[in-house]
Amino acid sequence: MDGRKPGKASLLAMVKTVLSAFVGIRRRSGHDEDAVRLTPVQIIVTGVVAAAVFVIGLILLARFIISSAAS
Amino acid sequence: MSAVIDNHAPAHGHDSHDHGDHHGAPHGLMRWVTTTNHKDIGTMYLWFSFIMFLVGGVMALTIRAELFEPGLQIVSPEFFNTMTTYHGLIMVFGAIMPAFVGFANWLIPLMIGAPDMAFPRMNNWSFWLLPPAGILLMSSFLLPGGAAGVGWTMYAPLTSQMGPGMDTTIFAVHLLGMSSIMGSINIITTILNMRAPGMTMMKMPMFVWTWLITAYLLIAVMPVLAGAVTMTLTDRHFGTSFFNAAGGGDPVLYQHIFWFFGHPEVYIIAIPAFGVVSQVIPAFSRKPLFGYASMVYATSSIAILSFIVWAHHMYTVGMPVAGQLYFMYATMLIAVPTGVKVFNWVATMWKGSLTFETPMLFALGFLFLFTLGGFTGLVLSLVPVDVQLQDTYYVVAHFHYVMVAGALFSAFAGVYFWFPKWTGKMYDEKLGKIHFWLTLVFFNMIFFVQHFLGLAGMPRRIPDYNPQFTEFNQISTIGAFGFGLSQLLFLYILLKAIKSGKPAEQKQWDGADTLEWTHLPTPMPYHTFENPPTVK
Repeated sequence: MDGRKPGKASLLAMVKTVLSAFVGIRRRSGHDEDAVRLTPVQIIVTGVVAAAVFVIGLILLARFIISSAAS
Repeated sequence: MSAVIDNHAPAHGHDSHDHGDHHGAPHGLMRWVTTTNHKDIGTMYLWFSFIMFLVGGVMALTIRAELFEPGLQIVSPEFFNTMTTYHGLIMVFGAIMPAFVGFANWLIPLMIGAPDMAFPRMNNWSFWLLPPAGILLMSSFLLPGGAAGVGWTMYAPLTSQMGPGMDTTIFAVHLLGMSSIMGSINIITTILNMRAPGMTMMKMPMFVWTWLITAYLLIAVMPVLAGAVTMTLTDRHFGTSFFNAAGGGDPVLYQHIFWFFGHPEVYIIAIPAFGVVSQVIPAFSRKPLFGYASMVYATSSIAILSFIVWAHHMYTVGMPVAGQLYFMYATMLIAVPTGVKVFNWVATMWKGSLTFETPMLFALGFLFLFTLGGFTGLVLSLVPVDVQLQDTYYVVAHFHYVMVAGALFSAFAGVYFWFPKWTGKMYDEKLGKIHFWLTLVFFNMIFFVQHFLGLAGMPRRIPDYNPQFTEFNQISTIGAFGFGLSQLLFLYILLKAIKSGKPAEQKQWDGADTLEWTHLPTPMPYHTFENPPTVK
């Protein structure tokens, strides 16, 4: 399909796909693009990594708020 | 199209039996005992869940009867505790979960163009583990010391203080878990390997997607529950101290393990319900599901996020403030993809050619009331609010809006929607609508007032209460009996339709567009899609 092969998506495209999934909103054109360029394994791995980053980010945020409240 | 074809080959190569030469369903009781047919097994799951729904419902009515007036009138406090416990266990594990597995059995092969489930014999065993589990649960009441009044969450250290009724309950949970895991393996294998040519993943009906995701969730968390109850069992009988503080264990550990299972469990119940509603609303709006791809992605991400919010059930147990803040933020954010799904269903109806037959009414009831349950969940996600409201009737109201108005309404929508296809008979539409309105009104009568009882401080799981709560409790109890009787009407509607319903059309609902409606005759043949359809 016009030279694009599965598994050839950039990291940014994968992250964009997963973040839009977390919010729950995806354009049809974006989805069609994903279907061509992304493999399920890529999406799952990126999803799990993004979830871990999400957890770590929230923990850091919580710690930051507590430390700023204490000072 | 004739789907009764003689070249039926067993789905598994090592099967030496030649049972491929029958044209229809076998007769007699053994049909149901030995069946490997996904339709038979789906039917058994659905009837089993309905029977358990009535059993759990009687327990709910016992609770509500006791709470009709302050003071102790009908049952002892100990028995009251067993009622709240087994009502919860039976409704979650015996009624709602098997109901949606029943839908999965019936519909997944039909929707993806497969002849049956991938492992038909394992499918039979998955079902037949349930009745022994149900009997084991109920037998707890006959044992010395009675059933275990520990709450459906089975918290330590209460569990170590109970009689043998606790052990039968633990074994029942083991059996139910085994059944769920085997069912999930079957569902995943079927969906990944047995789709008809052309049925790509992103062409699968939303219901199939929701079950694929749910099955993965089940495989991930049922072993966690099994581990928790097994540790409880060894604490009780084999001298371990996992949850016993006196022996160096930690009762709070149990709560963490339980809720690591328990929160995904909420989505295990809710996600297939989303799937049913995602089939029903487009059919009666005569429009495709709005944002199908977004729905698939959002459901997957809800599944992942469901693993990282468990301790919002435990704010008051004792945890660092940073922990409370983390779980609060994560819980609030998980509402976003769920909220988007609600908007997708509304957008599906937008400018649609809507009609309001019974399945659509139940789907809309789901949409309104599940959203309300979601909002009260958001209220409870706030730590300072939850500290006030934990273990009050506000929580009871919240999760019944999710479980009953969410999952049960969706199951009713599904039964009315596919009943004509399954049986070839049409139910009485007028009675179906009456059933919906009675269910809707009585449901709100039971649970809407419980928000206010909770806000005023009435604790849950207590058989007595302060007289100031009397009036709202009486409204709730009257609603409960009305709700219970309305479900007998549902049973009557089903039996009447089976006995003397008008013949249903192949495509009873003109907006329905999945394979079972477009490719298969009504009534449904016993064997379908022996030759897979080609999906374009």
